[in-house]
Amino acid sequence: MAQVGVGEATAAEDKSFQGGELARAYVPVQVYTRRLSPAEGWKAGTIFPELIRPYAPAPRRGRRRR
Amino acid sequence: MDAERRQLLDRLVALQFTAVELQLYLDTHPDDQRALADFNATVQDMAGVRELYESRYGPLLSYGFSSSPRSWRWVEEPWPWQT
Repeated sequence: MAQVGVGEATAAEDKSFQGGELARAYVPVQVYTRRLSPAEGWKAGTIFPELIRPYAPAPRRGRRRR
Repeated sequence: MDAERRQLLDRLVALQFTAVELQLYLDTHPDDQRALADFNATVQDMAGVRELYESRYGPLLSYGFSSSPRSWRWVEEPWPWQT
C-alpha cells in the first residue's frame, strides 16, 4: 500500500481541524498480471483487466483490532 | 477510405495505446522486467506497422519519420486526421 499524507500535522493544520484526525488515503500498488490485446485494450480504455469498471471487490480481510 | 487502410490504421492506434499504457505502468514500476519486455515488443510492432502503413498510404507525420523520395507526399490527401 502506498500511503499518502503521512507526517506530523503542523500547528496551522491542528488549528484548522480543531484537533481532529486527518484522513489518510490508501492506494493499492498495481501488480502486472496479464494484459488485454492491443485491440481489446483500445476498446476497453485500458490494457489492464483489473482496471476495468466495475472493479472486482477486494478479498475480505478481518478488521484490525485495537 | 478502404477497409484495409482503416484496419491498418486501427492496428497502429491500438498498438500506440498499448505502448502508452505500458509507459504509464513503467513510470511507477521501472524494474518490472515483464512489462519492460512487453513495452519493447509493442514499440517494435508499432514501428513495423507504421512503416507498412506509410509505405502504402503516405506519411503520418509531416517530418521526422518518413522520407519523401519522389514528390512531397505530405500534401497528397487525405491527411491522417481526415481518414
